[in-house]
Amino acid sequence: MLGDREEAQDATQNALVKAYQKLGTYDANFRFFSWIYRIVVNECLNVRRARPPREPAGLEPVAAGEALEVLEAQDRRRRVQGAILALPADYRQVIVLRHFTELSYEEISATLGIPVKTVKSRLYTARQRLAELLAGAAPSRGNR
Amino acid sequence: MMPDELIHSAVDGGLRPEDRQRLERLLAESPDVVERLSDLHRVSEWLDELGYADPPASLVSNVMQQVRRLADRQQRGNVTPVLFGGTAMSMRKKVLFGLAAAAALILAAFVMTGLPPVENGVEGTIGAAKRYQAQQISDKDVVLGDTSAQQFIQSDTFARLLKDPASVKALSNPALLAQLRDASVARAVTDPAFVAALSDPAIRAALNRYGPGGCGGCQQLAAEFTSALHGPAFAAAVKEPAFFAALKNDVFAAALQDRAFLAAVSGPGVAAALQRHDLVAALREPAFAAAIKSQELREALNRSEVAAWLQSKEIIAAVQSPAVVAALQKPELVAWLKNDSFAAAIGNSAFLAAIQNDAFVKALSDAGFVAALQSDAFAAALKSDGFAAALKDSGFSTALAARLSQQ
Repeated sequence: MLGDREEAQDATQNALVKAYQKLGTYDANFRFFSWIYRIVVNECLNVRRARPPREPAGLEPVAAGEALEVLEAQDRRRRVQGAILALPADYRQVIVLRHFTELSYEEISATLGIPVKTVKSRLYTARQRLAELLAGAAPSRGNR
Repeated sequence: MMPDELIHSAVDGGLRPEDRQRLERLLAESPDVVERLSDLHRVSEWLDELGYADPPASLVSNVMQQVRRLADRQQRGNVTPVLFGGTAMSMRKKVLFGLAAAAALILAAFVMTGLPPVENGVEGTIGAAKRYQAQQISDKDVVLGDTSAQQFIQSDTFARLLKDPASVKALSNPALLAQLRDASVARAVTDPAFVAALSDPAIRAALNRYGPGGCGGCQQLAAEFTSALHGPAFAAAVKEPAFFAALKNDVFAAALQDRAFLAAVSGPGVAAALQRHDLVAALREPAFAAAIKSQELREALNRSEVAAWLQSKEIIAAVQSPAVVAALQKPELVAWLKNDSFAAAIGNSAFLAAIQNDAFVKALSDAGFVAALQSDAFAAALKSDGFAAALKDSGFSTALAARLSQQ
């Protein structure tokens, strides 16, 4: 969501403290994790809005002697991370909630407070953009 | 469904049979659809490859520090109290926050997923100047993952637990929450057996006794319970169905509130033995639970020889006998447990058979008999086949006891 470990730690910490302060607003008719994920997502957005623009992540030089497959996997992960961070926030949220927290469309809808239809369309667009951004990320050889 | 929707539903694994057939037709007709589906599957695989990053160890303590500061300010009247349903924050709400704190690790994993992590051990050296500098990822920085804890938080069971006041109260114990942060215990609590156990009213009632206000001096007991839980053997015992069965037993639950008993079960010998169904069953015996509170007996039980002793099915059968347990409370017998002659005796099958003999057990209540058991002569006699055969005979034990009592 943020592309920076320290910022992510700060955002998580702030979100949990806010959860404590806002505990009175939690409605037990809804799932607890949807409520707290939403606070975390909102906090991440606040952090992003507040920070100055930054340069995209560059690539480190390849260390000699490392297996080609390992280097390719590292390179691919860097590219995937970079592509996620290049997505607009709305699309990045649905990708993170769907692929890393494995929420259903309905759960994402409840967490973000948007209709299921919107969740689906954002997810479709986000994946399509990732596919375009990562078009050159497949191994130069192998079975892909 | 439109073709796009079909393709994305296929990536999410949510196609109905009729949609699957339609997609298969589309795939057969259009190379473009084949390519798009393949691209999206690949993207999906790559996203899965990223896995999870470990949260920092300090996260929970940092959050709790902030919460404590907030609570202090509220107490001084500088800040509006946290409200829940219009009243000042009560136990239930504190508990909810406790759960949130316990979930912090999971949430942090979610937030940090896909980030370029810093290298191990250098987090503290990264200053503001480097704050916006991109970091290089390495294999060791990405922990591929154990998602069981996260799945538990997202499960219906967890949701139900949160809505159940008794469960919430049970989970409010800081010691238990601290345990949830321990990796081995965290894995244990995501076991279906543990979840099922938490749903049991008797177990919740037992755990509630550790909750704030549950009993006098509970905080100290909770700390000791935590200390007991810290051992890897005890963490393994937590996964043991027999342990949960024991928790339902009033005597065992009551024993868990006893400082001496907690100290006893936190010893390495007993903790290892707690993984045995039959020993846990033995602990449910009121007399044994009472006996184990004896400091002398505990010291004896934590000897390595006795730890081995507790693995013996004959001994475990014996400690379920009221007569043996009564004998265990006698200082003479406890003294013998510390004696090397006992170590010799427990390795002897004739002795193990004898302790299941009523007359022998009766003889154990005789101070003279116990003194004899500690003698070198007894240790030597144990090696004799004739003595071993005699030990199994109730008449011999009775006669021995009678003879010794006359001396």
